[in-house]
Amino acid sequence: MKRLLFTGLIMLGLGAAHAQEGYAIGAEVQDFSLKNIDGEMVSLSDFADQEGVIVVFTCNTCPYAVAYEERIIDLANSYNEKGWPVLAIQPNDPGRSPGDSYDKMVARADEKGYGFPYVFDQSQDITRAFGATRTPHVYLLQVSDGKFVVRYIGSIDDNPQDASGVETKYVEEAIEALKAGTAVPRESTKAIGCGIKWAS
Amino acid sequence: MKYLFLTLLTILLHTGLYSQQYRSLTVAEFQSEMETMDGRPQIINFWATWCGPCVEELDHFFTLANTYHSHGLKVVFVSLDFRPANLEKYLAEKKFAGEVIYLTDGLRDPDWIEEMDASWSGAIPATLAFQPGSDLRQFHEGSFTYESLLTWLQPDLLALD
Repeated sequence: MKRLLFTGLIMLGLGAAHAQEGYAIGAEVQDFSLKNIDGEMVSLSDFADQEGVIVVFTCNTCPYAVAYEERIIDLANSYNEKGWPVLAIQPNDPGRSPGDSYDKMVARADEKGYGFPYVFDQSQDITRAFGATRTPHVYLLQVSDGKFVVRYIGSIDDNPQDASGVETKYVEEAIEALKAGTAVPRESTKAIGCGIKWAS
Repeated sequence: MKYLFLTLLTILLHTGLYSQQYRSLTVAEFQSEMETMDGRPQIINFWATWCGPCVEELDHFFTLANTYHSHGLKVVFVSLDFRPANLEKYLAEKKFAGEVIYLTDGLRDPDWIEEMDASWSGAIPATLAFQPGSDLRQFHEGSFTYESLLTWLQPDLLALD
């Protein structure tokens, strides 16, 4: 019985370790294609002529994602033209989170006038490959010799509650460092967020 | 007379519950409180009223606490709500009877998530089980059914032997 429990614990441990896998700082992100809100497929390789891509795992329903929505729109407005466009990926299973269905995504993007792709990871495979666990969760990718390399993982800034009370804008700080050819001051940050709703 | 007694008891119980619905602590205060907790097995559940999966699993922790109360098990619910007003409303509506702590700077402090457990990405629900003064410590990110909660917990934490 003890051995069985022990084996069980190890398996749980492995499960937990598995959940932590995904792209780390410096990893090269494999190409993928996901369906955008306009019905067209968007691939990571579409961004090969850019300096980088701000990949944001976000959704319609999580209060944190909603609190950050305007700031994601602002990021896109500021950086799309500077060679660092936003690519928003909706990772939640609509079976568990009905407000995150493809139709609801289309409606939300329409209502708020998203000026960036908002794609749906229906199989959740891409989310798993990244190792994203919560919304919002940012992966900043730099295009380097045609490869997409992870340079920053974490939150957008340091104040989810109040945009006007932000002291450090982590994503912008990282982009500015990369544009200047210097080291990213803070390569990863953690923040409280909504766990991704995995299909069971 | 009997009814009067019952009425008074009800009023007393309610006042008692409502007067100490939750305590507001900073992350630093909470961490130092964790260090000085007595040697009972402790379960700390990180949740928020707006988090569906968190709210769904709350009952399992109450069942656990009731079942293992005689073993000394203690459950604390740590809220990461945006505003204490939301928490207050929820606790009153549900007549929530558990011990609740509201972290006033839990969303601002950039380092405490890592300090709580290196494996925690910050997603909630998340649960920490430990026994102060011993090596028993486990952390889980994600939700539980009652069965998976029991399977996850080290038997020593439930002091079943």
